[in-house]
Amino acid sequence: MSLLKNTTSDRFEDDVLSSSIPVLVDFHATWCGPCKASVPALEDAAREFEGEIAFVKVDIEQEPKLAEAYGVRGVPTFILIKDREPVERFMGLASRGKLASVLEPYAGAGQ
Amino acid sequence: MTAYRAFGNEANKQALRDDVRAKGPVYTAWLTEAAALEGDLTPISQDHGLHPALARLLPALGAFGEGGEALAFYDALLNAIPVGAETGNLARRALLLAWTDPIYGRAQRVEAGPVREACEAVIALVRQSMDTSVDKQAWRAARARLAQVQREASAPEKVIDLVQSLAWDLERAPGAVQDAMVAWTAQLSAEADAADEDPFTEAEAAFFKSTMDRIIEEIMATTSEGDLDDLSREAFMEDVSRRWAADPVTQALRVRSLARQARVKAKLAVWRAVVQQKVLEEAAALAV
Repeated sequence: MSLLKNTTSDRFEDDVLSSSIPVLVDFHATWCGPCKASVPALEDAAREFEGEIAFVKVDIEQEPKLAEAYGVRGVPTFILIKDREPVERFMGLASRGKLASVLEPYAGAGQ
Repeated sequence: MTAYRAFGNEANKQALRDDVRAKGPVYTAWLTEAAALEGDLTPISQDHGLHPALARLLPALGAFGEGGEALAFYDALLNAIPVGAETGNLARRALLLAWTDPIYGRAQRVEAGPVREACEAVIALVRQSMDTSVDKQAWRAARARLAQVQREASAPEKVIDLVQSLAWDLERAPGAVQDAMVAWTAQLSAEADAADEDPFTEAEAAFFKSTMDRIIEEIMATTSEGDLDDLSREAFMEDVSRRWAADPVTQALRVRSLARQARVKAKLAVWRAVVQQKVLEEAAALAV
C-alpha cells in the first residue's frame, strides 16, 4: 500500500500542520512528467522514513490556493513542513539521493 | 541475501535474449509504466530471475534507448551471465565504479577531509552489502553523516547527490541504481560540456537561451490549445529548426550548439563503453 497520501485544503491542517512528525508535501500536477517520475523515489523514501516523516501530495490544479499560499511556481515542488513551518524546499525531479540529503537531518535522531 | 537467481534454465535465458532482440533496448519498449522515468521492469526479475537492481541498471547502460547500439551489449551481457547466478552484486559492482573508476570515478573529485570520509563510509557499506545484509540503521547513519557534512562544509552538491543515491539497500530500494546512474551521467555530461573546445561566451549563452525561449513562446502563441495537444514531437522540432534557421546569426549559434552536444554525447559513449566492458567482465566471472 502506498504511503503517499493525497491531501486537500480541508485536510491540510490535520494531515500536515498539526502533524506530530515532519511532513514532506509534494505539490504536483497530473500532466507533469517529472512529478510522475519522482513517485518511485518518494515511495521508497516514504517506506524508509515511515513513522519519522510523513509524505503527502497536493494536486495544484485541484488546490490552487494551497499552492499559492506556499509560493509554488512550478511542479514538482517539495516542501518539508515541521511544527507548522516550511523548513526545506526544492523543485524538480526527486531522486533518492536528493531526498536523503534533505530528509535525514529531520528524521529520527536527527530531529 | 536475495531470492533472485538468473534465468532458472538455458531456455529461459534464450527467451530473454530473443525478447530483447525483438523489443529493442531495455527502455521504452520494456517499460510497462512508461510515464515514470524508472518505469516498471519487474517482468525481467519475475520471469527471468535477474535482480531488480540489475534490471534497473540496464536502461542507463543502454543510453536510455538512444540508438540501437545497446542491443549488442545486452545480448553479450545476458549471454555472459551464468544460469543460476545471483546478479545483485553485478549491479553493486557497476555502481562502485561511479566512485572508484580511475578515470570517471568521483573519488578523485573529492578532497581529503570529512566529506570524503563520509563518502567512503557509504562506499564501505556498498562493499559490505555484497557479502552480507546491511541493516537499515547503518544505511541511515551513513546518509545522515553525509547530509551533516554537506551542511557543514562546502561539499560538491552533485557528488553528494550521487553518493546519497548509492546509500540505499538495493534489496529494499533497487531503483536507487537508476538515480545513481542518472546522477553520474549528469556530472560527466556537465564536465564534458565545460571542457568543450568551443564553449559559448556568457553573452552567447544568454542570447541562445533567450532565442530558444522566444521561439517556444512563438510556437505556443501561434498554435491553438487543441492543436498543441496533437502536435507531435517531430513536428514541434521541425518548427523549432525552421525558426532558428530564419536568422543566420541564431542559426550559426545553433549549429555550434548541436556540434557541442554531439561531442558531449561522443564522450559519454566512450564512458558508457568502458562501464559496459567492466560489467561484461564481472558477469563472466559470476559464480553459481
